[in-house]
Amino acid sequence: MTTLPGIAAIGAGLAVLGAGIGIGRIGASALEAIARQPEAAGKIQTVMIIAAALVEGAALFAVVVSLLVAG
Amino acid sequence: MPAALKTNAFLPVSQLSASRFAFIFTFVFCTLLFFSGKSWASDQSNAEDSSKTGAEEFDAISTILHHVLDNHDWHLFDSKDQDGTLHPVSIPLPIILLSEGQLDVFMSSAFEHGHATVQRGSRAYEIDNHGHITESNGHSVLDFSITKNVASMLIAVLLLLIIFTRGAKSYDASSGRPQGIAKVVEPLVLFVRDDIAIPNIGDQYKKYMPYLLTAFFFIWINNLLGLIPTGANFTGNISVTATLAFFTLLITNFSGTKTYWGHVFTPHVPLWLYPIMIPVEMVGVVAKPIALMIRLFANITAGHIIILSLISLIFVFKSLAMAPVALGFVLFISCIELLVAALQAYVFTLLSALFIGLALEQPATDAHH
Amino acid sequence: MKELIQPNLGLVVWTSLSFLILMFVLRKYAWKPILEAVEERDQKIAQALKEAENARKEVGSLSSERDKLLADIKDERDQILADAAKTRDFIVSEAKHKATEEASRILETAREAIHNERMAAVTEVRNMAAKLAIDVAEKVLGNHFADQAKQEEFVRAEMDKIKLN
Repeated sequence: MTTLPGIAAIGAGLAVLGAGIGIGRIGASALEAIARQPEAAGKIQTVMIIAAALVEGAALFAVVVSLLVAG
Repeated sequence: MPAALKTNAFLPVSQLSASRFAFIFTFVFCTLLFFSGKSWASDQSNAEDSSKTGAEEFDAISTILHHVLDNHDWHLFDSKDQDGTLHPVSIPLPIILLSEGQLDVFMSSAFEHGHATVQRGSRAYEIDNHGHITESNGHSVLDFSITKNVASMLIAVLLLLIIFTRGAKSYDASSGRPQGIAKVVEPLVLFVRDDIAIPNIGDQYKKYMPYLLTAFFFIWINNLLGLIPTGANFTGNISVTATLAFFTLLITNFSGTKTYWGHVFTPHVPLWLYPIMIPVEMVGVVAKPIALMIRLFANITAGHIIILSLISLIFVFKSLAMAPVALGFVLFISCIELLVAALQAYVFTLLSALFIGLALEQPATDAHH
Repeated sequence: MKELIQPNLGLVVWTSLSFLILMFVLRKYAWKPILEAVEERDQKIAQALKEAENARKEVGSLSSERDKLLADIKDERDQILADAAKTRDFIVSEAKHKATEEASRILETAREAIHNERMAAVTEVRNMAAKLAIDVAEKVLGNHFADQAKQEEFVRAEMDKIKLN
């Protein structure tokens, strides 16, 4: 009984780790791109948010699965 | 302090009425904050059987769940009797039930917080701890009650109607310049048009503007209302996000062009891959709105859970010294949540526009596929 | 935790109903008027900019026309001035010429008259002198020359010796 929620929590943690790395990389790349081309900042920001939202969506799927498993 | 943040968002409306509005808003906010603190203090015993006066074990998980989920009444705070029993004080909300082809309407106060059975004709209704209403004789019940979430949404709808219909009327007739509230409304509307609709949809954006604008402001204002203490977790409810995502699914697929459906049913792959590719593409059609649904739900619910967990720390540690630390964190997270409220409304609308734009794809633009 | 992702029919119905009503009401009473007002204003601004551009162009063409007109007028003035100068010079030189001619003609006439007068005066003086000399000589020689013929011959000889310049 107690092990399953624990494992689910670890799973959620791993999902967040992945999303963190992914969004971090997106943010870093966007920052570099904006530093290189400040005039394209608006466009880069939009694309960055879309990409971050997609990564986040994948992580949230994992978190929801963890929620289900944890009961 | 979060009150100051929220009132600031409304300040530019108009000088005189804005300051009055800010005052009332701050007053109501502080009152709610005070009462919600009391209700938190009492929740720990509410979670347990209130007749037991002995060990009061605080169950953070069930308390948080109780606040994140929907309810049949709008719980404000609990009051304590002379003999130490707690009475929850809440705003009763209408309950609308459909059972055996009969419509039964009564106020949630009739349940007396789960202690009473409500008799309507031959039907006896009971409510359990999770707010599920069942019929004692085993008949199926359809629940169309005005729950806390529905009530919160109706408030949001009212606010939206007032703000935007007034905004539309606040234009100077001769010069066409925005006046008063339109000075706030117009840049937001133009933001949706110029930064969300036009770049993603293109020339045909006008047809989709009502949906995108309504979705953006509906989600945003509901997110904000959810941040007010004792507020409902409307946009963090899977039914709500599923409904909104379903609208995007419908609009996307009903505006799908030949090219769009061509991608689904005749992808540019060898013929023997079709049995794999077509199901994958069809999953993709459905997965996009499902991602929208999960994203909004999980983001808003996560925000609520974090804030509630931080406040729960005070009761878990049973120490007042924890309060300043927890409140500091709550303030910090609340500021982030204000940003998330707008960001998630933006992301939902942006991705809806993006999916619509993809569905409107013309043959000439897909050279890279 | 499962309750979190359990859909609720009542909430779905209320949400769809409210959202759709909200969308249709706001489309009619908010989005359409706002977007139309913005578009109308944008068009007005574009129109005004276009008109300003046209006006600017017109002003430009007007000023170039004016410049041309001014240049024409200047040319004409210069022409008239040049003509006037020429006429003036002509008149002056003509007058000078005529005056000189007149003067020389008057001078000539005067000189001629003087000459004639002098010739007449000289002749008269000569005649008078001759008559005087004859009278004197007649008186002197009345005594000296009894013979009239001899006297006249002598005088004539003597007269021929005197040559007036």
